Amino acid sequence: MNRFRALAVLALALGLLVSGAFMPARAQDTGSADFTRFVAIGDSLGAGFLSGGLVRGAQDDSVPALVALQATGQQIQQPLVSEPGIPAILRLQSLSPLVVTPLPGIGQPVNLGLQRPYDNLSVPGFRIGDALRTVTGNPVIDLVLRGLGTQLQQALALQPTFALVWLGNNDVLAAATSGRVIEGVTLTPVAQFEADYTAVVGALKAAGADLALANLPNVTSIPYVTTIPSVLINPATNQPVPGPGGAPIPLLGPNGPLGPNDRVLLPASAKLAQGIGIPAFAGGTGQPLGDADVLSATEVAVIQARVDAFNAIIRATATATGSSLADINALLRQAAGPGFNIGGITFTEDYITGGSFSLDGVHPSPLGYAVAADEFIRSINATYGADIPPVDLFPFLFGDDASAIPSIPGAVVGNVVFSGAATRQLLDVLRVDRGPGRDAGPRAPRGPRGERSAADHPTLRPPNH
Amino acid sequence: MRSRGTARTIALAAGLSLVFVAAPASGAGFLIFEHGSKAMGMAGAFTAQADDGSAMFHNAGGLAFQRERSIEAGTTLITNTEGDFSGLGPFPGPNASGEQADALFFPSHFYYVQPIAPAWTFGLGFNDPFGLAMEWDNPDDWPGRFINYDAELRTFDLNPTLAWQATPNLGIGFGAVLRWSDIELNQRVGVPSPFGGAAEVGDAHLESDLEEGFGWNVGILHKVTPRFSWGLAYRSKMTIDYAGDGRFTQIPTGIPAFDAAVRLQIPFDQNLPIETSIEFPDLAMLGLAFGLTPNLLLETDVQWTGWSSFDELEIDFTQNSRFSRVIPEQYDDAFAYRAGLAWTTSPQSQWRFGYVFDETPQPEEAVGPLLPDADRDGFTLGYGYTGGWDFDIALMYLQFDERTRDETLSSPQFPAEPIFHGTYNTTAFLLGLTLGF
Repeated sequence: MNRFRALAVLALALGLLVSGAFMPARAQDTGSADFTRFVAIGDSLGAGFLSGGLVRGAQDDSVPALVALQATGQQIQQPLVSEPGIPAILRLQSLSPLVVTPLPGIGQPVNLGLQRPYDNLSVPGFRIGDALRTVTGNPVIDLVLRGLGTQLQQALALQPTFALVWLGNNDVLAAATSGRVIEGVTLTPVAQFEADYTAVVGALKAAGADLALANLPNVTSIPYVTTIPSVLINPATNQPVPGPGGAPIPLLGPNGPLGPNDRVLLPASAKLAQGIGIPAFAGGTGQPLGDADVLSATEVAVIQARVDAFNAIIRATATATGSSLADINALLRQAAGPGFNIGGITFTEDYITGGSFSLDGVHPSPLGYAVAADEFIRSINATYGADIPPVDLFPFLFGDDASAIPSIPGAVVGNVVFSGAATRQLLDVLRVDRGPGRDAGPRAPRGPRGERSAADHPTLRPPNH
Repeated sequence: MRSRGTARTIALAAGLSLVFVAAPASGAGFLIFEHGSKAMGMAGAFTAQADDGSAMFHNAGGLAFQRERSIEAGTTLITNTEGDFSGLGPFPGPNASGEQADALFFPSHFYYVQPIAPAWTFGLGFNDPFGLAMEWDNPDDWPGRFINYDAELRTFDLNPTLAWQATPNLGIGFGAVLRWSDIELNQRVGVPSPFGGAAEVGDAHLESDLEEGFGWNVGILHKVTPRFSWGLAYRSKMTIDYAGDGRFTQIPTGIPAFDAAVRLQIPFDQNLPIETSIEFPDLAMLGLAFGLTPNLLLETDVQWTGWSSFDELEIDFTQNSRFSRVIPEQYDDAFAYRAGLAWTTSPQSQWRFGYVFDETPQPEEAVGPLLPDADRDGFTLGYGYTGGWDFDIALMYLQFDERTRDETLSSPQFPAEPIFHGTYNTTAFLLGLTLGF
């Protein structure tokens, strides 16, 4: 009997051992990285901002949330917002013609009562200097920081063992989205960036945190900048309209006809729909587009050079601190080039049809964020000898995670009209100062519903600078 | 040695051979190495023996020693006993799986041997030296369906051969190879959805016509002593250019306006001309045969296959270039190592045993639903009877090493290679039967 019992116990123990071996491990092999106390500081990209707003479904799949979930099996605390988001996220109002407008209504914060700083402290619109110095300023900042101190102060208060730092995007982005390069206003000076970036990273490192850093994408490659050609397009064929000599007809910019390397920003679509920017002989009004509608080839070059300069600083900082470095720049380069072939389906940076970007043309789609999270994980694994499994992209192609973008069915043909309300809302959150008397453009001609200005949002005010 | 053919058996064998057949590649890549059941019983370690009609494949030099007319016909039944896929992140992820469709294939062979002059022998061979069938169950759910759910490559070689017995112990043979081949690919078409994620919008069926190509082969067999012989054989590489049609069929998404937009982008229900090309690799084989005892023979072979010829599969839609694509393959040259033992138990009967280690030419980045290749071990058992007529039978169990693709995202060498990570487990069972007269 005893022998049988011993055998039974042995068999049971063996069974437990075997079943244990086949149980999916909740906590993954994080190598030398310690994810015990994880914090993320960043901007809209880190916050999971997409389609012009912060909303819970997308926040759940933010890059910090996905990285932490893969590394620890645990959810992190974030400043979640109920649907339809703050601001309300954009949707496809109509596909023929293509009209993008915000959803009606406004979301509410649902995690304001957390008795400590959020694990994900990313604030849409933040530049590197904001992490050190900004405490309040607009409702979105208050939603995340809650008057509890600067982003860096709150991150340090959590005594992090691991910190994900994804800042610097807005130090170049404002120049691209505003169409104006103004040193010290839309573009952060290199010396200031270097001082602030090393200060932020240095403080977290000094507090004992291992770090995951990321370089900056070329913000002149985003759909917001690349979607609208600088020549007149026939919406029916999507081909350039031939001019009198057979050559394409350049659109009219503030300094005359646009050159082939000048870029027309997405919000200019609403003006083009009214004939503004189109020569009179080609059926337009002959009025030029504004400075804010156009990113000149010179401005593109200045911004790209600044991206390169900041990335050199980020790389040097990563090396000096032994931090991992996610190559987000390469991701966007691939999306803007051959695209990502995921399981036989190619995703590119193309607006609406490319699948990598959300409806605001600036921020990634849920799939785009998941691919970015996998790049963070790849870099963390490489630097810290970890074996964190990549994010499963399948649900982002075919499952519930795919469609955080509400829309109504229609045909994807004709010109894009990015509504004025959509533009204003986006630029407010990005804290892009378009200057006094400079409207985001006339309202979309076909936007019967959802056409609202930022003033319609009781919780939103123009940003303070 | 084979003997005594009749017109009736020639017709029968020819009829059998004219059934064009496909097979999951039993050799690495999409090579098939089973072209005679005697050789198969010794795991293909036959270059230094080559004493039946399959010499036309294994070593044309062996034909020189065959001084009686003979006819052989046979086939090899190949069935995949296991063909499983389990996914890994980032795509299709750990919850994804798939299974290859059950299949039975029978690449067949036919050989006619005719001495034509003192020291000269003519042979006419027929076999299927390359082939592939890769079909996945449940194509509507198979997560790899946007890459492949049913692919087939077929070849058929006609191989007239002339061999010269230069000395009583030295045979040299030459052959010409006329190859017919066709190829078929089936996959689904997916695009990014404007509503997020991906949408399955169509089915793509690509099928080539039967095309031909030319090559050659040469072999030498030297019986140094009654107890030792060696053989060396080479088969040339061959390029076949294929032409055919690609046809897209729309799959409605349930959103009529989106479907209408897709119709503007993809010309459904039309035959679109396509072209592609495959450079089949060359093979070199070296074998050493030792008579251990009067009744026991051991042969060891090494086989080199010039798979680096297969660097890409370019599918060119000649009039719709935006559907053209290049599938990077970047194969490496590969070796196979074979050992066979023949045990003669009576003047009429012989037992055979063999083992082959066959190295995959396929780099990890090219492993996918179109062809998940792997190193494999093959174990064979064979039996041969020689009487008024001959028969050879052989069994082979082929165990593929588990093959995993899990490198992260795209590597610079494979920019267009789809992200499709996971582990493939494959086993196959082969039964060969050859009759000789």
